Amino acid sequence: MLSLGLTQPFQPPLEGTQMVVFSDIKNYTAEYEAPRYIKKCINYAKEYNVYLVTGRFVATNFLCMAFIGPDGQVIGVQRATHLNLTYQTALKRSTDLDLYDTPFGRIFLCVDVDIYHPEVLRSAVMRGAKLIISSQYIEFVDYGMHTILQGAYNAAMSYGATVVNVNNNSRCILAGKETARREEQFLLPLGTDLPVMLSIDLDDPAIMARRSKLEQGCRPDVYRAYAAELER
Amino acid sequence: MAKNDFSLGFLQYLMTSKISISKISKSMDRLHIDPCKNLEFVSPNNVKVAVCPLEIQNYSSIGDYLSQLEQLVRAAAGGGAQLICFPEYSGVLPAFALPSFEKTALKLAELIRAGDSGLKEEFRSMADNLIAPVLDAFLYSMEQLSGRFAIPIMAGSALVMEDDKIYNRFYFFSSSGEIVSTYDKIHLSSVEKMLGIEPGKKLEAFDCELGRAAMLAGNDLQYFEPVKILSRQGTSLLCTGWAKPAGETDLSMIRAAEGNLFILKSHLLGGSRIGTDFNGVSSVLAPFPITREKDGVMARVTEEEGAPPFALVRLDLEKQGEVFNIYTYDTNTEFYKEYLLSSYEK
Repeated sequence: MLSLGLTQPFQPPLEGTQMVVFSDIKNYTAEYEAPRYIKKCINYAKEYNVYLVTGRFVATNFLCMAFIGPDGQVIGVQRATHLNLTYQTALKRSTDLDLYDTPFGRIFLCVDVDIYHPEVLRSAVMRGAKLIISSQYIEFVDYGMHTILQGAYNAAMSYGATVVNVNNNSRCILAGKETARREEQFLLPLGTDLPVMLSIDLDDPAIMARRSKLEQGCRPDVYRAYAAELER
Repeated sequence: MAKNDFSLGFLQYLMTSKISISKISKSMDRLHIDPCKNLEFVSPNNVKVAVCPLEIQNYSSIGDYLSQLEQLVRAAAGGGAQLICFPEYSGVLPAFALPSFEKTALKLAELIRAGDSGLKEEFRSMADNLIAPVLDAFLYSMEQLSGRFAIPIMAGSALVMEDDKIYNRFYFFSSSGEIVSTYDKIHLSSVEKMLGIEPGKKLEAFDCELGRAAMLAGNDLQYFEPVKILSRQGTSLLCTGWAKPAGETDLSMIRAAEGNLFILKSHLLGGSRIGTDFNGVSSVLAPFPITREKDGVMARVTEEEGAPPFALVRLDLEKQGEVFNIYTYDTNTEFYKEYLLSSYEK
């Protein structure tokens, strides 16, 4: 079981939290502020003895999220592979896919709009990611239930994963298990205030069952025949 | 075994006599169908489509089955429909015109539930005797309905035997009653696998009288891959039929958004008498920004009093090209080439 906490940036987590995800309200920390931001995140992780998933920041013209261990070690940095089109002239796309092994399971940091790209999610989950942590910025005028459905909800249900989504408007945790009732898939509903902590089982049999069913149902023999369409 | 073969052989004899082409043709003549004029003017910014759910039920005769379909098509045509979609396994329904078929289906359902090792053999025995006459009745009925009403129909699917293999095959008929395209279901359900049904291998968009279309089964929508492939082939209208067991997740709304296309989804319903429980809301779905409530729904079948038993809606296919979402529009071909197809080997 993982005690996962969602907090505002640098807000103390609730007692017992093992992993913290920052829920930020700004689109990203600019490149010139990033070194100081990361240092502050490292100190936070050490102070509270938690794994920490940072908010979004820019480094070497890539939009990033970092994963920091309780000892303050930067375990890894995932760079966005897709961009909000408003960032296209300023930022670059990465072709990296990094997964991090933790005592709780393998996790994937899904940077900003990567949550809307099934190719990224398929690639991460088929490589063993059980927990997808999605941190994104959605303009208030664009935000709605559909932005969660097409993003975090889709990620949980299409791949059989546990998905944490934090954005400047809301946050939620979704369990990708088979059920016709959408409410049952929200382990943490959208309107929850911060800080919050939830115990989640990344090996929940219901989630594993759906994941297994979906993976076994994939038809790579067919998909390969249509590589030209899939890789566009 | 011998008794079983005899029973099924007798059933086939009954089928042949009860649902012959001449019988269906006579029933059709009695229905006095005139061609509608709905396709005289087709404009991509003003296309009218209908999705018609079907409930599993016993029919006292093949005429009853035809009557059920005819009423739906007539009502949808009367509302201006230029394309009508029926659900998955609508092609099995003619078999319910036989009084003893329900018993056969119930027995099969029991074997499925028990995970009986004799299931495949039992199903194969039934299939060998029944698939051909039921398929003939289904295809002829749909050919006549589409041709006589002069409306394209996505007929749903039927079991088809080809080269000693059984497929779950979808059919699309033109307004002249010709088969324009077929699709063999690619992502089979666990029950279909247990029965030994053969999965398909092809994904092909095709041109129909309303534009570029394609077909999938509902279970295919659990995966983004077929939708993306068909979207890249230019599909605007994705016709889907589904025999969805109760409790199964429906991701069709999300696929419409992800694939940037319209999904016409028709459900097979009911079946409690034969130990199944199919449900779902037949709907026409579109990318979220196109829909009024941003909920992805253009129209759906409702159970309100007085509501028609189908959903009928006007679509502007040109809006598909106008959807520009700054959050989802980006692509990364290099990433896809490096990671996607190799993912399936992990």
